[in-house]
Amino acid sequence: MNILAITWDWSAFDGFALTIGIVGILVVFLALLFLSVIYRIIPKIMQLNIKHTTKKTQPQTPSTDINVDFMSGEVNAAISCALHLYFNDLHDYESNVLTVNTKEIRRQSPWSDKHQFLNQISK
Amino acid sequence: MNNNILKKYSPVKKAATMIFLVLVVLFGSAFVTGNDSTQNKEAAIEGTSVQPQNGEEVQAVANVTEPAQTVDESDAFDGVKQFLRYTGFANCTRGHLIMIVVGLIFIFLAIRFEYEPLLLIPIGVGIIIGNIPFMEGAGLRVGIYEQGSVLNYLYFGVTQGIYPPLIFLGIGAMTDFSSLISSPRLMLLGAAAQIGIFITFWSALMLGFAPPEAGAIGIIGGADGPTAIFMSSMLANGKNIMHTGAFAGKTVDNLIGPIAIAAYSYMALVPVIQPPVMKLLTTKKERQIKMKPPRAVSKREKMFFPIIGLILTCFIAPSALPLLGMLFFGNILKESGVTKRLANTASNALIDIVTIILGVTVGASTQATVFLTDKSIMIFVLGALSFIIATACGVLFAKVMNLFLKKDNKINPLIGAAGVSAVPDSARVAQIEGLKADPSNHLLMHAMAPNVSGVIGSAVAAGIMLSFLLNF
Repeated sequence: MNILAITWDWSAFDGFALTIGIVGILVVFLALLFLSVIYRIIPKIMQLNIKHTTKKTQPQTPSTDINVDFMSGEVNAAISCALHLYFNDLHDYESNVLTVNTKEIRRQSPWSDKHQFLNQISK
Repeated sequence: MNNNILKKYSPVKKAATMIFLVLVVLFGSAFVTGNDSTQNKEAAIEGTSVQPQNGEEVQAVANVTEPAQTVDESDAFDGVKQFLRYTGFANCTRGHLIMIVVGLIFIFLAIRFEYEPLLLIPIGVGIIIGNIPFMEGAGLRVGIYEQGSVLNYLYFGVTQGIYPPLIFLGIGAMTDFSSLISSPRLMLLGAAAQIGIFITFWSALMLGFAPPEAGAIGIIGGADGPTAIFMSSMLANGKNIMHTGAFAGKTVDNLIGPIAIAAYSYMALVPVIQPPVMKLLTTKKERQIKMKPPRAVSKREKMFFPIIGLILTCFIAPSALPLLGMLFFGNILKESGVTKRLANTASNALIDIVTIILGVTVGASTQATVFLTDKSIMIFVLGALSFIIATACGVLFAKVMNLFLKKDNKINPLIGAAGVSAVPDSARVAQIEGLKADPSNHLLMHAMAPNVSGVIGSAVAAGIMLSFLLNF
């Protein structure tokens, strides 16, 4: 077989093939479009009830300057990191054990061992 | 950190990878023109005895069945000769060597460039295992296509489409659909990338493949390994007999091996294939578009998603139930919050076990006598075409969507490429290309939305193909 000499049989591209392709593309789009529409609606329905109850119970507060809807990636990352550390107990823990060394530690070393000195240490 | 990511995909490495790929194709084409080991293909598939090629092998097979009557020097010499005939050296063909080299390349790519190592290592080792030469038809029962062999039993899960749904269960238990739920409009990008599936289907038909085979090949464009295996096990399994048109009465070819290998190879090479297409179709200004961060998603919304998704998508395409059902089931395990143990098992132990078995058996199914054919090479060419078209469709559709969106609400077209469902590699590629255009622009979370919707989209597309072609 000569791979470079590929022959295209255009007669195979018939009505059946065209139907499968077009119906397939349309159904995939419709399925995901339908899901997308549902997911656009669901949060609104869920928040509708919450807003309704909060309006009844709380007086309207003046709007603040902080834009809650838009937060930069760095802020999101910092919050995520803090939550991750908190929920997974990854933050630093102190041992909470206080110890006081009462004895002075004297390390023996040839550099400071008076028994190995040739000369007397001047006093 | 970003520099490290950028270094990882340096042009030199890409070039090296492409050279290896070209070498693979050249070796393959050289073999096909030589064509010395495809004679026993049909017998090997069926697991029946193989017609020996020469007189020596006839003698060897005869020796297996005839018990030794006397023990003298000539018998001992014959025994040694028989042993030598059973070794891999005596049964080795050019095809076996080529496939072993391909297996080594897979292992090299996985270790050196970390291209999907969890898949390429098992597949690479599987290719080597499947291409260790042995005397076929001598009753050894070691080959994957020989009935009763261990590999044949493991391969049963591939041919019957058992492993892909289990993989989908694990994927569902691992995937966080928050980004998708927060930006539902990005689901359409996942749908756009599936156009590649149907264009490849048409191309395969025009290249002479039977419609069920073409349907299975087209799914490679979905960039979804389990879906590709599931489809090929249903449509191109070497067993189904066609009833319609010019192909009536003919049996479909067994293309599970080539399709699976092509799908996983191209999935691993997403960082090489996608960036040139993305750059070609976008301007620098478009690549610098910053998108609004996704909103927070409540736990209740996350729980609703798999339930609604399961009911809706499976009503539209019931043929995709094994895949979509398990995907959403896995996600329900994760999001319900009360089945943590099950979710952990599905997303860790279960998916790891199935990945190992699936990888090795798919690799071993590339036995040279079955795998190295002209059709396999055409499938590889079509697979590459499919990936390129799918990427292009995703990017172009994002640009079309931008025409209808407000200026402050535009979509970065790079995330359209993530519509092919190679999770999470194509989303990572979108992130890397976004960082190249603007080092402060992080697209990963945005790209995950079309990425996971691509998984759903490709499964729906597979279901549609099945409903049209299963009884062709």
